[in-house]
Amino acid sequence: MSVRTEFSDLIRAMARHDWGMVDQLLDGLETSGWHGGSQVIGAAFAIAVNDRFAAGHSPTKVARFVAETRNQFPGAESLPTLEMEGLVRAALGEVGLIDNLSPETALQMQIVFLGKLLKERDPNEAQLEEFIADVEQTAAEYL
Amino acid sequence: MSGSLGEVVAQLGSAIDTLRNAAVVAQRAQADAEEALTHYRQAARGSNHPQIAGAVTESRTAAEKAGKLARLISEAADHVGAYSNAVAPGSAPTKQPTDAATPSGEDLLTEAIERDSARRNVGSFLSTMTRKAEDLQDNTQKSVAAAREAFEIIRGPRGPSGSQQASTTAPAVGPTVGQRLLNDAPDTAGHLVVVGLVASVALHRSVQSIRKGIARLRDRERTDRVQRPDPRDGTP
Repeated sequence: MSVRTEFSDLIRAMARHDWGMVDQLLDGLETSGWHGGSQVIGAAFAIAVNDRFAAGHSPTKVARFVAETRNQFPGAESLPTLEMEGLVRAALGEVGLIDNLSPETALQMQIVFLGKLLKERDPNEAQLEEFIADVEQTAAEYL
Repeated sequence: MSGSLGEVVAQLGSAIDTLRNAAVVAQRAQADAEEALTHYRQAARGSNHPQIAGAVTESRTAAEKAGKLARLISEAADHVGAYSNAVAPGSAPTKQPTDAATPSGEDLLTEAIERDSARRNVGSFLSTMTRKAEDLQDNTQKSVAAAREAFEIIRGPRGPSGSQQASTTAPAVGPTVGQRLLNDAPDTAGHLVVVGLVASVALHRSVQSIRKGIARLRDRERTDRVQRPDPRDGTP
């Protein structure tokens, strides 16, 4: 099963800070359904996190990254800090840390982290397309 | 070193370089074959198709043979180097030269292991997440609402136009009362000193004024007593 293009477009719009397009795509998804969205967002988040911590990670480094994210987006204060750290560490292999995390909160956190990671990477168009191709291929395995 | 011996040593050096480069290419081929093997194994999960099973076997063999090839070529380069050093001591380096532009076999292997580890992490995370999100997938309203809230967090407070570019710097957050006190500490201390001085002067004046008032009252009382003697004194 292939990945629906709306979700890839959502990541493109996020990387380009095209919030009008984000709104438009979300309006469309309200009608067409969310099926496949969790896999695409999850793949994008997990790939970006593993790239971010490719040189190595520790609970302290993860905690610092989460603090930076919360500082960058003041609205993220509504999200629980420890669970945010758990989600990042789950993407780095400790999946047991998200056993009690609700899927809605997990989805929100993944989008917020993705916003942070895309800003950090600041990819050019070619890099963005390469990232999205990787995300689509990975997500397709879990649809 | 005579001319003919110099030529021989130069040719041996050239052969060593060629062999070292070939060994790096073989190590790279080994890393690629190992990566392919990982992908084929993932693709083969739950399938007994002979072609995919063949791909797994062939890529494993290719990785093993490429590794063996790299090792044999490196050994050949070492032998040529030893011979070169026998005929002209010190003519060949005893260790493989490091080339910054060309990653070593060890670097390539480390890179392949890291890639493999990242893939495994992503895979196990997505498996868990997909299971967790099964119910959410069916509830479009809930999913889109959650996503909208998250995008609101990223884009920050909306301006009057309802849409704006996200700031690339951390937004300024108003300092707390505690932070303001810490930030303004020198000024605050200065203000307190001034207020203290004013207060002490005011207090001193008040005390003097009160003392004068009490003295005035005592004087008036004394004057009244002299002008109007007390009948209890027994004087007419």
